[in-house]
Amino acid sequence: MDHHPSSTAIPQIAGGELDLIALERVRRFGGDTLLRELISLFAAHAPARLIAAREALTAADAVGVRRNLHALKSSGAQLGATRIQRLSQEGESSATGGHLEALPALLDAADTELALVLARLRGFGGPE
Amino acid sequence: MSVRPSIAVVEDSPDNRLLVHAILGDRYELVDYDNGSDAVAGVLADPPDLVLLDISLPVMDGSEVLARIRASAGGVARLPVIALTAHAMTGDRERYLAAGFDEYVSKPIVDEAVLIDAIERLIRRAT
Repeated sequence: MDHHPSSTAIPQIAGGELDLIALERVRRFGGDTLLRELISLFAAHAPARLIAAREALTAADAVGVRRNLHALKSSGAQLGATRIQRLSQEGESSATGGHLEALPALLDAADTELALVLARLRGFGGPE
Repeated sequence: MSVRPSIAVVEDSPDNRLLVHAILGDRYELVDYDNGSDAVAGVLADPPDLVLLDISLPVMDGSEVLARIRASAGGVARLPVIALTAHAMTGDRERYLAAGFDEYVSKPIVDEAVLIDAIERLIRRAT
């Protein structure tokens, strides 16, 4: 019997980190309904938070960057989006310290990660 | 019929408000405010039994909301106020307690019992 790797093997996707324990915690708080509703809210608001952070960065508005990344951190953390949480914390800290130069790359990374997270969350009842 | 304690939930993120309602809605009467200015006006006009207060708020942040409550006349100044916040840097808890918050619960909410215990303890202490 051949043991060649399947040509249709699903590649590991880097990123899209989700702490499944956090999702189970949300279920404990309010069942599948709460989980679906929180995922829907996250899907609706998180991209807008990143857009707002980017617009604030363009305007050199460190306070605006910090506020939007703080909100994204909080929402992402509740759903176990751990890399979103880390990136948002890092961006929030940079903005607080007035170090805006690293933020464009960080926001790019957050955009990529958010797309992967939202794709994974669809499997838990998120919007298509 | 016993009256449930009332809690002002001052939180601008709809997902966080939804979560707080899921955890607390069966036990308490919840009144929502999505910005600090409305929260101050509402709490002073119709004081709840406790305030659950986010720090990062539009219009007026949580620290200013707390200061306005503490500076008000009468019993409202002594309302129990819990900081519910994703600010989690070293020293944040001590800083918020020193500023006049009665308790600090960090977000994300991991253990609902921590939040409920804090609420129950503070409401009992205030009555």
